[in-house]
This record gives sequence, structure tokens and C-alpha cells, in this order.
Amino acid sequence: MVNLVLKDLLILKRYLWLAPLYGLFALYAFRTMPGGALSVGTVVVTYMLMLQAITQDDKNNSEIMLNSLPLRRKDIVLAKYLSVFLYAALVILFFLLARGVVTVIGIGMIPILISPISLEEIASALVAMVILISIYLPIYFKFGYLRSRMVGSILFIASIFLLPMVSIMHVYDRGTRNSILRNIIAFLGRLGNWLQTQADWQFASYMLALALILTTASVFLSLRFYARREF
Amino acid sequence: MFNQPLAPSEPKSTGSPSEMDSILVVDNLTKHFKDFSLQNVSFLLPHGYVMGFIGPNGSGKSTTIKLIMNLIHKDGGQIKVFGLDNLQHELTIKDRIAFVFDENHYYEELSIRDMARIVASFYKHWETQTYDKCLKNFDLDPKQKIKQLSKGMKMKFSLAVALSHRAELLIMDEPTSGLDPMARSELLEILATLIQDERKSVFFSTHITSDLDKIADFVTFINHGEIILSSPKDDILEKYGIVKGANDMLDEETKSLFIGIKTNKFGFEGLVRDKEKAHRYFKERAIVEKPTLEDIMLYTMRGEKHG
Repeated sequence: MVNLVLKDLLILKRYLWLAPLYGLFALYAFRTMPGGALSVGTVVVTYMLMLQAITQDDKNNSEIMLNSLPLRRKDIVLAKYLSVFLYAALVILFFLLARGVVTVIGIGMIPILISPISLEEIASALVAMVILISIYLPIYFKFGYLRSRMVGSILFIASIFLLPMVSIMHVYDRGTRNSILRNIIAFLGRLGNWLQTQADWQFASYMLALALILTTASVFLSLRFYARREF
Repeated sequence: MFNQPLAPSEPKSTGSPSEMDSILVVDNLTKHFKDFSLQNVSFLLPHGYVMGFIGPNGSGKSTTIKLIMNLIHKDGGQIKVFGLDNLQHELTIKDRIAFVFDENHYYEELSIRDMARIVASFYKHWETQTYDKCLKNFDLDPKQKIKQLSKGMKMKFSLAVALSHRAELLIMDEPTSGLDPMARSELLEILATLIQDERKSVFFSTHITSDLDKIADFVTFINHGEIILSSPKDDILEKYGIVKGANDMLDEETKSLFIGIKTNKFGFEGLVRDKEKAHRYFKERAIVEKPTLEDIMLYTMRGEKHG
């Protein structure tokens, strides 16, 4: 399985520089949104790297080759999940580095808000990424790259805009007449308030538990789908 | 030379000597698609021999190979490689077989070196020396990217990988298709050298029957998802015959002797399963010649309806 993760890294050799670059970009672009930069950065870079690896698998029908090697289909699936977490870890690491560099060079030169990174931020970054891949990967393993592409793009865009959208919705909640939307907003509001009463570590552990449950369900589905795939 | 004539209709019981000696046993294999079915495909390949798997495009060659490799799921039947069930012992089997497909399935963006490094990591018995030797013999530069290689070079790279992990069975799906005559003949030469090593067996699909002239010991012929024949090549070429004669010899009874027949105003030409019988029947009124594998394939596909 580790060999498969290394294979993906080797394929992505040319694209890995994307992570630190985007770390810097996100730091700048989302400077007014503390916590947002890391989440968006993690989601964007992880998704792009994962998609690049999948595109390469698809390009020459390389899954035929992989499935002809002495490999279990199970390992192919698990390796994809493992590699996604590795990308996320890389992004977070680079993000911390980028932040460190900016702090050292000086805030005067680049107008970036520097606040100490919290466990909460890392947790929400991971959760955002987990939601995206937990929905996308089973679809990919069921239908293959081509037919899962559209779903992937929608998920990707949704996951980037969902966070800001929720906060905007919160502001406009009194303006809407749609009762379902109002209920959702009210629920999110209550959830937000409740979460704020919790300690940082509590929030982080709730999020990680959610991520764990989602990932497990997603892996389970992917394994079932991929075992039945025909090439 | 071959003491085990193989016919698909032969009854086979588990543990029979012929099955035990076989490196590949396909028994009653069935797979249904919407518009195509593989029906009760059976054949066996003895240790150390080369079997050519011939048939027109869309006859079920690739489907059979994909079933052996467990790339698609069978609806019925059994496949045994090295005497082991291909699903229960998938990893053990795949570690001991090598595959070459009609197209390149390696990552084009990678260099030969990186791609081989990836593949090598999955096999238990990767032999770097053998691999390096193959690259040298095949004139492949490890620094080159796979996308820069010609179709023939890509095929040679696949072959280099296939030969470098001590595989006992080489499974090839139309390796010669799309190659220019030079590359094709080079590939066949490499194969001819390779099969001198009697520990290696080869299962090789192609629609170009002349590929098999030099290298195949056995021929299995598939058409419309059914096995038409599976026998030692020399037996087939000895037994079958092409009969040529004048049209006035043909009536309903004589026509029934033929597998396939074509007529024109000068006379007829047809394929018979039993050359001796044709000799006895036509005596000196007709010429009986030795067929090529291509004749056998074409006449069988054509049948009598176009006769």
C-alpha cells in the first residue's frame, strides 16, 4: 500500500510545488478570514493533487496495469485515501512554514494577518477536506474518473464557497422568507453558538470524530464499489 | 511431439494428468455482456509451451484474458493458473505471471526508470540485472519518458518489465497489433528467443495468424465467444486440408464435408477438417493442400453460407 502512495507521489513530482505556493497565496487572499485560509488552502491543494493523480491513472487506463500487478483492489482504494491525508498533512506543514517565513521577513512588506494557528483551525481544515473526499472518492471508485468528474467539480466549488456562504447567510437570516432556509440558518446559528461555548480541544475532537465517521463510511463504500469494478 | 491432443469437447476431470501438467486451465468460462457472450470457454496450456489465441476482432480474446487477470468478473466456470484458482490465489498468481497488453498502460509522464521503479516495488522477485540487460538489448534509454517512445519501443518496455520478475507465465493481449512490420518481427524474434527457456510458458492472443507460424506450439481459436478448436498447431496443420476442384463435383453431400467453402466460375476451394477423408472421397479429382492458420480461421468464420 505504501508503494502505491509513493507511486502517486512520483506521478505528482511535477505538481508538488503547488502546495507551498498555494499556502502563500491562500495566506494572502484570505487574510481577513482567520481560519479560512488554512481550510480553503487544504481543500484546494489536496483536491487538485488527488485529481491530478487520478487523471494520470485514467489517461492511459493505468488502472488495468495496476490491477494486473500483484496488488489487492483493497490496497488500491486504501492507498488513495492514505495519499489524500498525506497531501493534507503536506499542505498544513507548508502553510505553517509559509506563515513562519512571513513572520520572519516582516509583516510590513506583505499585509498578512498573523495569528497563532489553533488546533481548531487545523481541525476545520481537515474536516472540510474529509467531507469533500469522503463524498467524491466512492463516486470515483464506482464510476471512474470521467463520469465522476462533474460531481467532483460541483463538490469542489461547493466546499470552497460553503464556508463563506454560511456566514453570509447568517447575516441575512432575517431577510429571507423561505421557512426551510430559515430553519437551516437558525439551526446553524444555534450550532455555532453551542460550539463557541465549547473549549478548543472539545471542538477539535468533535470535528475529528465527525471526520473519522465520514471517512470510515466512505472507505467502506469505496471498497465495495471498487471490488465490483470491471476494466 | 505432443502426446496430449487438446480439444475443448474433451471431458476433463479435476486431477487428470493433463490438467495437472497445465500451467493454465480455463474450464467452462462464461461471461455475459449486453451484446456479447463468452460461452463455456475451455482450454488448457501445458507447462513450457506457447499457445496462440486467435480469432477475429470482437471474438472474445481480450475478454478471456481480462477474466484470467481478474480485471472483469466471470459469470461461471473456473480458471486455474499454476493449479491455483485465479481468484482465491490472485496475489500469488499475479506475482508469478507477466502481462503485456495491446496498448501502453504505463504512466506516460514518467521516465522509464521511474516507471520500472514503481512496478519493481510490487514484485517479490524483481531482477535488476535482467531488467538492465533487457533495456540494453532493446535499446531503451532509462531517462526517456514513456510518452516519447514509439509504439514498438513501448511494447519493448512492457516486455522488459514482463521478463524481469521471474514470471513463469507470460500473458500477452495482441502485442503485435499496431506495430510496423519491423517492430513486429523484432518482437517475435525476442519471443522466439525467450521461449527457448522451457520454464516459461506463453499465452498470446492475436488476430494476425502469421505471428504464430514460428512460435506457437498450440493454437486455440475463438469465434463469437466460443472455442472453435484448441489443439497442437502441427496436428491442426496436418489434419485440416484445403481442397480445390471443379464445381461439378459439388453437391449437397460433398458440401457437408467442408467447414467453409468458396466457389467461383473456375471451381471451388474449401476447408475440410479431415484431409485423409477428403483424399479418399475425391481421389485424384481434386487437389488437397496443407492449409495455413489463416485459411482455417477465414473458412471457419465464413462457413458455408457464403459458399
